[in-house]
Amino acid sequence: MKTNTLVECRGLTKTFPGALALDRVDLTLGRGKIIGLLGPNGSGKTTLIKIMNGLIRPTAGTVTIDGENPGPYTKSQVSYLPDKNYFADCMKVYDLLNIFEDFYEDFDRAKATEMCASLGIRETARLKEMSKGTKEKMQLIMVMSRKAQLYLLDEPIAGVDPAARDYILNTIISNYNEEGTILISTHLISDIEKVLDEVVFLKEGRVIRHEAVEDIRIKEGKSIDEVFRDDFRMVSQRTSQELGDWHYVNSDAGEVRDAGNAGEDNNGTAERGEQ
Amino acid sequence: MVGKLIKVEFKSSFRMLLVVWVALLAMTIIMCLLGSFTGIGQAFVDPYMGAPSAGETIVAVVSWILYIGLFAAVVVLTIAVIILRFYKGLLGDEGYLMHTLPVKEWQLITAKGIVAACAVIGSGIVVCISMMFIMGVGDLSMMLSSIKGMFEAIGETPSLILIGFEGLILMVMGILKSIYQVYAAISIGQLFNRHRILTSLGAYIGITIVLSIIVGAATVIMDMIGANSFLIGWLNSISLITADGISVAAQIGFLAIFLITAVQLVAFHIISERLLTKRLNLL
Amino acid sequence: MEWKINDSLPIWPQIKKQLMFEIIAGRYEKGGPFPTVRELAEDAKVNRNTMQRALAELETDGLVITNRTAGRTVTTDENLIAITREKLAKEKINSLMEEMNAIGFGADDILKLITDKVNISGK
Repeated sequence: MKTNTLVECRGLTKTFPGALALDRVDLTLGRGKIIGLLGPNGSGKTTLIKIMNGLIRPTAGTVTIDGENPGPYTKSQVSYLPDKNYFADCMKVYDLLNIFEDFYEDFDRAKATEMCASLGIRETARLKEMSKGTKEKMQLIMVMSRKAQLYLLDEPIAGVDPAARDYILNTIISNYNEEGTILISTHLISDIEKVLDEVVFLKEGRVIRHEAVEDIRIKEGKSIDEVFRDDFRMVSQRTSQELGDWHYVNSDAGEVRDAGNAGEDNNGTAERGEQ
Repeated sequence: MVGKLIKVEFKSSFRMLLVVWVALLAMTIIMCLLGSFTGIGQAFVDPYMGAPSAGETIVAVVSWILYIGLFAAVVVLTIAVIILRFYKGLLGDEGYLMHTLPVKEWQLITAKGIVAACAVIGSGIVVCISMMFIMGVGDLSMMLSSIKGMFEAIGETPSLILIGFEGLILMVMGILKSIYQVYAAISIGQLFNRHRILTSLGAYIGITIVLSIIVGAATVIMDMIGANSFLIGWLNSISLITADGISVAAQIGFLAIFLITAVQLVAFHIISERLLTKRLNLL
Repeated sequence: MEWKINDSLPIWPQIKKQLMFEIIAGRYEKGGPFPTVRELAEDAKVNRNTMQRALAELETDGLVITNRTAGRTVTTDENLIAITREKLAKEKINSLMEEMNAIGFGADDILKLITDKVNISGK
């Protein structure tokens, strides 16, 4: 039975050696919405999305999607755009189409083929031969050609030129399943704030704001971009005592290391705000 | 689902392997024709000419170097397929796709294992064929006569079919077990956030040590309680009682090896599956 | 259509006003089809729920009518359009007056400036 709640996080916590990526996150997301997951680099956005996808297991707490823990069912309902290229380079476009068609019942091959054609991408083209930008678009096409309940888009517009940004945003808003929800993580807020219903502000692994954007505009008389800047201007300092505690807590994972390096070493996964 | 995963896996694994397989076989044939292998080639290079000329020597040396290189490539690539297809395919960037497909972890592991086993068996067959040519079995009449001899032997002792079949099963199980040991080691290695290759290697060595400790301990304990001499005596007595005795003893031995391999296989699979299900940490 | 949206203010009222303008300006044929929420949202690059809300407001005002069979159509009610037109004009004048007052122009000054402007444009 469908309830109005699509995603529910309860006390979600994730620690990496020397770093706390998510700190007791409670979050409830409804259906049929476009939600911005906003926060500076290292605030835990990617970690949260990866946990929802089942790519990382939380240290504590739970997450359910459509009432279920991450697993084969939720994966069949979630369409995920990672912040990296996840296709093997030796594959051809039709290999990708075949894989998606084989595994995802909600994949619309005709739609994907059409979008590829409109970009001039041939089905026999190898991913190896594509530019970085084309690969990213290719990945977006695959992800948006599914009629998913939840789209998890991790930084889809980071590091691309304005024309590509327009293409990406257009593709997202003109192709998603209207009954589904999009969670889109970014730190480039002004580009996407018009398309959002709600925003979730993440700061140092905590949810500090979860509100409807129009409510924010009415209440504050400011754009979301401005509110974001206000909320994040104060950079809180974590004491070394706190860091020391995390060192201790995580030493069971086999390694104790400098918290300051954690973020870089883990390729942005062991995220932590400014220290 | 496993079938679909195998389909995906085959495409990514066999592209490179096929190239080296064909290259090795082609090189084998070329060398046979050139006479670089002793025996077959002697007639090709005129025996009355005496020592081969400098040109012939160079051709022979170069072709041997190429051949050994390709041989090594087959071995290295096969091992690489086992390790990398699991490490990169499930724990690298490609893992982002594989782990977001609506499948269970055991299905992912099984698909990888089956395809890797096929790669090992395929490489084994290619290497065997090449070796047969080198050793002069390439001579058609000899090959035919040895096949004929095999059938004759089977005709005399039909139980050879069973033993051959069992040998095949043990071999495939052994291959799978070895592959799964690599998988279990990598799954343990991914628990760490840094130096995952090193920790995986350490885990592999650790597993090997633990296994030999278990085997050693079991031997010592069996010795202490006198189980070893009892077993040997028992097997001896069985093989003496009837005409079929030897093959009965062989069956018991087969069963024992089968069980030991199966236990390891299942244990490695469970370790990998549990770790990837409960403790996955994709960086 | 050229959309002008200020991110600092609630978006749906801005969209509603722009659509209202377009209807009064006769951009859409009276009684003719009105674009779908989806089309408009993609064109304005805004959220569909936002556009939905703006259209719902236009429906409440009666400028747009939802037909079960034909989808949304533009009203044929000339009278309603005329009233809305007048209302919009008055709003514009009001805001002009407010701003002019704020920088020290009285009603007479404003009237004179407008007359001058009209005369110049007229010639």
